[in-house]
Amino acid sequence: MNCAIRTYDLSKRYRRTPVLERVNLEVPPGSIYGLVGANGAGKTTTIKVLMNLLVPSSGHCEVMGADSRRLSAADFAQIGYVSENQEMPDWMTVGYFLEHLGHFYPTWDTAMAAGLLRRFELPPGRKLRELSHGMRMKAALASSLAYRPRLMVLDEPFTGLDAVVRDELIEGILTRDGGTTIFISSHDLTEIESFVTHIGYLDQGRLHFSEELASVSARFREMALSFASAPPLPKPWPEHWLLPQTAGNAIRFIESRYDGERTAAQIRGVFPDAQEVTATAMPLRSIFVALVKAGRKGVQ
Amino acid sequence: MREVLLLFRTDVHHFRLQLAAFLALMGLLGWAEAATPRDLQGAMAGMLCQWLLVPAAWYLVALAIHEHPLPGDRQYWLTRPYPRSSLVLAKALFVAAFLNLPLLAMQTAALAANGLAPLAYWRALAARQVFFTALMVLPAAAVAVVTTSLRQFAMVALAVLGVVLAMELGSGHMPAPWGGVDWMRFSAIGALAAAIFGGAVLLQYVRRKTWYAASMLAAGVVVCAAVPDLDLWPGAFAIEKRLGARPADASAIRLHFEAARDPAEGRSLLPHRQPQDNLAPLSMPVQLTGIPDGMAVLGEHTATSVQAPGGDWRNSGWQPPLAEVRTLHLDGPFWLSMAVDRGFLGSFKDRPVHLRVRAAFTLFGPSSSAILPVPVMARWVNEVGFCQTSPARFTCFSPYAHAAWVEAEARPTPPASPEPVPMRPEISYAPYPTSFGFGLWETDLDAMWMRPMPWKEIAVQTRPARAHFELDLDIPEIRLAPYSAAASDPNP
Repeated sequence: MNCAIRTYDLSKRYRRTPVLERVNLEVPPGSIYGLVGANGAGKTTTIKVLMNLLVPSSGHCEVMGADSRRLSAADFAQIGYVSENQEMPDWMTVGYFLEHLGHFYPTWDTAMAAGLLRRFELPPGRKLRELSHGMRMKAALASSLAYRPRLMVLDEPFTGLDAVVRDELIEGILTRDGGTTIFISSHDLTEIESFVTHIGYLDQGRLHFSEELASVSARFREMALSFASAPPLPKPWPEHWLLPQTAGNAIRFIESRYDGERTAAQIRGVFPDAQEVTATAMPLRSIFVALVKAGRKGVQ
Repeated sequence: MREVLLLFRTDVHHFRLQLAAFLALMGLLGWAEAATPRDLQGAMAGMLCQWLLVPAAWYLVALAIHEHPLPGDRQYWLTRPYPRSSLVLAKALFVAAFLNLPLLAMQTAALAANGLAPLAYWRALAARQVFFTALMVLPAAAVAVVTTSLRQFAMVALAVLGVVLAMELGSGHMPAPWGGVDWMRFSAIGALAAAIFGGAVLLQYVRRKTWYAASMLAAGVVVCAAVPDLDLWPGAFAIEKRLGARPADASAIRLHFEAARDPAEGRSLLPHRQPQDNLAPLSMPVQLTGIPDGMAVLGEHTATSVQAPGGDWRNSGWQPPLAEVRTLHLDGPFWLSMAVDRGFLGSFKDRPVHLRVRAAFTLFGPSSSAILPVPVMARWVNEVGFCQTSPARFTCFSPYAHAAWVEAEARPTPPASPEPVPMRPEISYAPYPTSFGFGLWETDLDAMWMRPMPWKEIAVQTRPARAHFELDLDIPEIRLAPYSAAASDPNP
């Protein structure tokens, strides 16, 4: 399969501090891939390496088939990159900015750019430095959508935005050609849960999983076991059962490899006295929180 | 090319006000330069403009490059389809259009305004462009590509200036004068600056390796500041020898020691100390013979080797001539200045030593003279330039090219009391001008008197260089004390 993005043992250190450690991820073409993780997990570093803004310490990555270190102007003509902390040419007006960029993209659609301005309610005559954060993000997004990129890379695009602007941006992102791949990072899963197709979880520079959202949702369950009298937690505790806790006559944990019958059989093996076992599907945000907590406790 | 023009157009649009101000200042300088040979106030205004234009030019270079800053990972343009080659070409076009071209236009207009055909000065105009780019534009660009803001730029530029000053002051002495071949030292610095600073700029645009580019910038500053102190004069003179117009004219010239002359006369010509404290000056009576009719010889550097009884010896290396004894000579007696190790001289000053001297000379062709009345306003003197005379000042404004030897002498109206005053001669064998600023005129000949003097006329004499050569002087046994001012000093 030709991936839109693929990394090979990607590592990055700042001096002696490792920020990314042997990250291997694949982003299928046409997918909407959400890279999630707590602040400082390495999401922005990953994206900056992908965009050739930073040089990897080891390993390498391919972006639309090209080595990220050798991304050319022609490659960037097919990539849209929007970041919350991107420095823009603040002296330009919104209209001048789009007009200026339009000359550099063979696929620039002037009508589409005008439409995006209207849709995002961007004032063409206002200078970029006079825009609010949300308006700047919309201007950046408009400037990255108007040439119908094959790949959109969005680094924390919703940070600091109110709900209305966030919804407008999401709507703008989703109004894309079917072939466009979207790679989006966020530390807040509720923002992206509704539209991503694939998800990767990065914690302390390590990629813990990278798979389809449906697969993630399917394999995480909040398990609740009730007993006549709750037994102590057995040792060794299965490593894929996260955040175990005892509450009264119940034991709760997060199953990270849920598989109906296999999980039930394993529970019966560990807790033969369990009277009732319930498995509750989890929203992505809860999965993310559980993973972060488990990571901090060193259970994962 | 389309992208280059688009980026260029955007930069021009953004900085249109700064560009207008810069061009206005350049226009003001052009007006001042056009008036300078006739109007000293114009020259003063021109000087002021030149001082202002230097930081203004650096500012413009920084603005253009910082429009798309290179260090960092947050700039929007890094992920846009801007070919790096187009970016660097757009910046080069900006500099060429608003620095180089206005400079060329201004200087061409100033030449034409003074009745000089600009085409006749094409070599000088081209050389100015090259040195201006190498020593004015590229250092500014090298600083700009490793910084992201004007504040950073100013701090690094000041640091660069500080390093250069510290190196000059730290060495404790001025760089040794190279005389007429100084143009080679200047050219070498220009070439090094172009290579190193230009390399740093290209490296940063191609690879965005800020650390490496900053290292190159630092190395370039240190190298360019250190070159003047390097003892490379012999190599430069050897090259000049090969470039000599008519070396055969010097083939019959010989150098002889004249023991019979009174050493006191030579001692009186010596300065008490050499620029280098470890060396003591000597002035040896010699005779030059075989100088072709109408021509003259100038003493250049000397390398002196002294061998003491017992075999101990010292070599001074090539040392510049002492100003007081560096005179132009026809056939006849001559005082040859040289330098020997001060401590060695102290030990053996009264004992016979073996003295070997290798002396460099330049042969000048027949002279041309011009007599300028006092006062006169902007009189053209061939191979010199426009000269102004007044009872209190004599100034020549040269549009770059002038003769290898230019000497002037102010002569009083008889029976006024002052003796004729010779003015320090200028010697340069440069085939092109060696300066890099904005000003058109060079004022090598410039003398002022505190009060009006009764000058009747000022004579200007020029000579072309014909040949550069070296002669040996070998004196098997000589006591050096009589020829040294230092040896007669009770506390040398």
